[in-house]
Amino acid sequence: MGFASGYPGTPASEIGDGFAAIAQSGEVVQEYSVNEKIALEVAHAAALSGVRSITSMKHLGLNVAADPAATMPYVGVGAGLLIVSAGDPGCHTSPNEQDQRQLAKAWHMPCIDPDTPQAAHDMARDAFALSEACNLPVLMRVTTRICHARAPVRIDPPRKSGAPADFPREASRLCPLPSNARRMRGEIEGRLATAQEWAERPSFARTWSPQSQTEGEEPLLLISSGAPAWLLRDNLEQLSQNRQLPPIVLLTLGVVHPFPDAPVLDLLAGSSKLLVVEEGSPFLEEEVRLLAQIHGWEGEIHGMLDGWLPSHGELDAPTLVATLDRYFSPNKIGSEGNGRASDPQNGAITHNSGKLEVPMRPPILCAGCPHRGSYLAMRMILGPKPLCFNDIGCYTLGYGPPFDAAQSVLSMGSSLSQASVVSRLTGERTVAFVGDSTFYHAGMPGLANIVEQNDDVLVVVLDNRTTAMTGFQPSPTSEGGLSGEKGTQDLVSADDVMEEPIPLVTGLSQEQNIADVCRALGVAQVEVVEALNLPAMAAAFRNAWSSSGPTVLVATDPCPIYENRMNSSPLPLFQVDSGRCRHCAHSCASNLHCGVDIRVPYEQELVRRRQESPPPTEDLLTIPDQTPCATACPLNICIQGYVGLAAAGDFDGSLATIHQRTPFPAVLSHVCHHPCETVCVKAGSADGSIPINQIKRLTVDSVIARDGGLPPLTPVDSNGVSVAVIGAGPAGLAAAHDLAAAGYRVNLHDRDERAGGLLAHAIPPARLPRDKLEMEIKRVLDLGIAFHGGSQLGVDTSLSDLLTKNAGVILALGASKGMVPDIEGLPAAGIESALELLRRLARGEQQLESLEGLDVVVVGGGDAAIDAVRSSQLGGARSTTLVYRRRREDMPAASEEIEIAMGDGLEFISGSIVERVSTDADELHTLYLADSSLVEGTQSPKQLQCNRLFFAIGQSFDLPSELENLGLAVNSDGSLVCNHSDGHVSSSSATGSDRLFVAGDLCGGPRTVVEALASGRRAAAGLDRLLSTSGVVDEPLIQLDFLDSEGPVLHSNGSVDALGEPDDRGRQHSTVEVHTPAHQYPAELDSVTLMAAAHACHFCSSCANCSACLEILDCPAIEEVNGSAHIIEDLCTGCRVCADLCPNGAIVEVTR
Amino acid sequence: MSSGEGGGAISPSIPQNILVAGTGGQGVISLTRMLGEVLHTSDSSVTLGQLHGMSQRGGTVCASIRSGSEASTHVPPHSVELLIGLELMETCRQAELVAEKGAIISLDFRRSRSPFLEQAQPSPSRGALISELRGFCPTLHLLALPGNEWDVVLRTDPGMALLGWAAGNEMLGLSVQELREGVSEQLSSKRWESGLRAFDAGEEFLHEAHLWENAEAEVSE
Repeated sequence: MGFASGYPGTPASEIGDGFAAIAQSGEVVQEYSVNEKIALEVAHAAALSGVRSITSMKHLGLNVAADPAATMPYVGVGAGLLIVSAGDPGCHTSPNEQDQRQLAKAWHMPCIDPDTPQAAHDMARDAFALSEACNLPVLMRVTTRICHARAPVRIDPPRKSGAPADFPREASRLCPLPSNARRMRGEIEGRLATAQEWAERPSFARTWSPQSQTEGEEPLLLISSGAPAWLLRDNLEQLSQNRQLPPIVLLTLGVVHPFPDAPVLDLLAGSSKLLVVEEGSPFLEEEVRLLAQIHGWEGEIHGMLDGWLPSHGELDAPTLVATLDRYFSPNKIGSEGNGRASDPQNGAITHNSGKLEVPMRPPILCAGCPHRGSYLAMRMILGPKPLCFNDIGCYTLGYGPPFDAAQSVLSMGSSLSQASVVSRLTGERTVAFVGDSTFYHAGMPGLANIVEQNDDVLVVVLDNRTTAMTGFQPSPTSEGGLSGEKGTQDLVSADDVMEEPIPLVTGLSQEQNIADVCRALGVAQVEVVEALNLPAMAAAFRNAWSSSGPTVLVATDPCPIYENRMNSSPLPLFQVDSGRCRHCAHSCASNLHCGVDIRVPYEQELVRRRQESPPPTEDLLTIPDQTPCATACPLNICIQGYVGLAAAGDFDGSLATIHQRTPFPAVLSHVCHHPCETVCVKAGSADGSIPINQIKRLTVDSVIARDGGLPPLTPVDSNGVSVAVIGAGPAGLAAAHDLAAAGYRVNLHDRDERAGGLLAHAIPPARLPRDKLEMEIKRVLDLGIAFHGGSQLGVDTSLSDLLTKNAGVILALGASKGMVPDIEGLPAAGIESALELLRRLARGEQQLESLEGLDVVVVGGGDAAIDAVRSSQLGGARSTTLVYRRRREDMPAASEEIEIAMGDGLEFISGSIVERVSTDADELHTLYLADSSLVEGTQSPKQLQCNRLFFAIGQSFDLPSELENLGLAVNSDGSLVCNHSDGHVSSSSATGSDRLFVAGDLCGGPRTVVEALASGRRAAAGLDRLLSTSGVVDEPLIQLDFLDSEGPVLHSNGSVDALGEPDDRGRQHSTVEVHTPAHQYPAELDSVTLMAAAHACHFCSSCANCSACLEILDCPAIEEVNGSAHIIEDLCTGCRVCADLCPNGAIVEVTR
Repeated sequence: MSSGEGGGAISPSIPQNILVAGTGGQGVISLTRMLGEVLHTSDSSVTLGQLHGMSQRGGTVCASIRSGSEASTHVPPHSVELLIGLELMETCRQAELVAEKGAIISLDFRRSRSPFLEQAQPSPSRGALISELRGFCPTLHLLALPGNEWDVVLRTDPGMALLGWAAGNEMLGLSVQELREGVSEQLSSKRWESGLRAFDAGEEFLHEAHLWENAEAEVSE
């Protein structure tokens, strides 16, 4: 033969590569054609010119070549033409497992089906003569098992074509105009008859029997071809070594079309049973059955059609052996072929020991692959919404997370077609990905169609300058030659371990320019960008996506494997600087163990921002290792996580992050003191701290606005253990939630008919909307918690009774009694605590309007004080005045509430105390003030008059006498002595039980709502640990030591120590400083401002909860080792995408 | 000559069915081809089977070397006399094919999978994989990397490293010299030096990870 062509496609690629190597000697002319149609056409033309020719392609490629292939038999060949098409039973590497034998029959081509590598050689040699004898192209059908087998082969000496090429001038024979075609069709039958004579020759139709078998009986017949025949003989030989086989005759067919009737009829004459062994389709079986029917053979025929063999998939040894067992021993019970196809995913027979399930390991994009850079930039800029259509090549591996860049893949070039019409019908801009080889193969017509239709499609051509997937065959964009006339390029073998690069002679002096081709096809906007230049790619995608109509982005960078094999210079190497890396591993220096799934949207936001601005500056790196905000949060909510997700627009993810720590995001968004904001690293800057709590509210409100509420909580199966929680305020509700979520049967008691504690009975609706509170309480109770309203401890139930009926008890009794000081002159009545006012208002026992026109003074600085002020203002009070012993900035009340109150006319008197009070007959109170010793330099007004005076100076407990009578140890503030880490009241003779826990105010004194929630969670965790059932909270929340300071220490200017062990990187915990905010933001920020603020979050270099390099890059060269990101040196190709991606600038180039 | 747990004398004959398992890029196919060429030269015909595609970008790769005139590329269950594993989980994936009296040589090395795959289905722990291998085949040689600068050499060309070790421990029926000369003739010019370096390093530096000195000891993670 003298000419070889082909298009690479597994498992046929090595055929073309082999001829490329042979072509070096000049014995053959070889080309890698742009596609299979062209490959077949050029080979056919060569054959017509008198040169024996061969063309190779995978089975799908035969479909591309179908147009010429179907007509070639009409025209004939001249010199022999062999078409080798490699199929893939079992879809090892292909989207289908079509059987090319069927095509050969449809196209009237002889089809040979070699069963071994030697047969492939011998039959190929004979095929040229066959082709010439019958003047038909011959199709050789091979499959993966033949193509990817290596075995000793006796090779005939090569013979070069004799006569020089000369194309015949026989238009009537070579132009199948309809009038010619009708004549040509009639000639085909005679040619096929000639081919059938060849098919019936013993060299093609071979009989075989195992070495060891019994004699004398009627033989069992087998017919097979191709790889199944090889498998069959292999297993028959093995079986014959282990047992006595019945007489067997196997007829292996080398030519399957035209069907060799004679040897088959001879075979059938000798027996009454036949098993046809094949895969792909029942091609042989159908022929045999037809032949048997025509000739009246009435024996048994078994095969795929009656289920003895699987109808699809690759035939494997266990299935075949089971079928043979059934065939040989039909009376043996249980010996049935199971028709099981092999699973090609594992590369061999699927196995499972039954003990350990070994998960799949599919291929992924290589380290340094430019396609990764393209996909990463695409998702970062375009987000998840746009539909992406993909194509055939290495880049098909963009399917699946993290890129999800392939909503559909069909065939070579189909990405453009699909993107085109989907865009047109949906009105949405779509994205089409196509490789450089595929672009030339079949993409150009698709692009022309897009231009013709003016479809709104962004076409991304992923140009890695080679046909990498199949073994680095050259593509039109591969690096061109060294000279101006003829270029050379090295064919880098897929296996460079054993093979030297092959210098190919091409006609190119320079590589094709895809951008020029696109412009020539009429695309107005074409941009070429380096695929591994992440900032440039991000900008290019942004620019391209903002356009409309047909747009092309050519992302070009060479395949790293190809580059590495072409060049011997050492590759750059990148490593992770652990000092800057803030990989979460869900366990940071603060031991938060948040278990939060941050994942892709948040990390994409980090990376997107990284492209717009450099990583954090050195100053920020001096911030302590803990996350200030999450550490300061009593619930240790992953604030950076939910703020980041909110910034990315993923409010569901943001809400889920908050839900990891509490089921009360809505309540907290209104009443939380947000200690996180006081420690935010931006608090000391001109912009001020991030309005974290308002971002939480934005998250909650966004979900509520969309869904009409928050998602329900998921009940779990009960573990059958009953526990009791007394007090349905925030601490009790939190404890009840956690225990119910762990499967306990929770009995929640409260003296009020409604759950909520001070949330429902004191905090005014203006601050905490009732609908949100009730929604969240209902969600918690709907976990199956039995709420016993109107059940007061010491009245309706007793502690001893509860301890008897329940496995454990948590007392979450709040400090619900407002304190009134013992001041000279206070009247016996008419002066009360702010808490009482609020309680009456909440219960409807007093209306806001009752305060209209009054002058109201509130003494205190906490939330109760401000709530009383706000209620007075809303009720129409003539004036409101707040007297506080410290400065305004020292007030523990929520700053935004203070600001609202000030805005509504609150007079603030700081650094003052009430020394004495006098009241006249009209109940006008005169307050005599003095300077507070807590603030220097204050000059208090001497007197102040008011109609109403409320004290908000703290709360005390109203404990049932039972507790006091039990002799439980009590602190000076009335709280119970307990273990502060979980509220456990240690075993005492008082209760006779060590299953008593306290939470909320009762554990450590009056608390804010968020502190109470945290306390409830800790108590639940403690009780659960004691009971040793399912885990509630595996890791205890960080216990902030706020018990030894006046008031909540987070609101002081002191430092807060976060307790916990140093992390395994040896970073020591240091203090988290509380900053005095230099900027007070307005109480209510609009959503636009909040989103901008969320975007402004630094995601602190202290803990970015960042797994970006692992999760959104998915590079095989980066792995997680001991909780840290680590770059595998021998896999890193130095593409630097990770370095450009890292939000913390923690990936740096090092010397290899 | 070393022996794994329960290993007696290692058969000096060439294994009839050899399976090589690993991940894409580790050189499974190259190793199979080289070994196949060497064994074919010195013994009867062999058939090599390679199931691969997409140049196996980091995915599962498995290749076989079978002896016999009619041997196809399908490996029958429980017929593999020697399983050579370049990655622990991939070795485990093929372990069911090992014959009752077969042997397994595996690098004590794990290649990470994508975090998304891990999230969907976590990989078994190292201990679980090793226990599974021991359950299939008592003659298990688990070879640890030396933990020094030779790690990179051995990881870069694990197939050659294993060949070197296997030759040094007479597991292939060929002497070190025979095997070294055989592969030396087949290596490309670009990979000749690095390949032989890995071969020699494998023989010298790979060592058995003695994890089961105490029969009931837990396999360390």
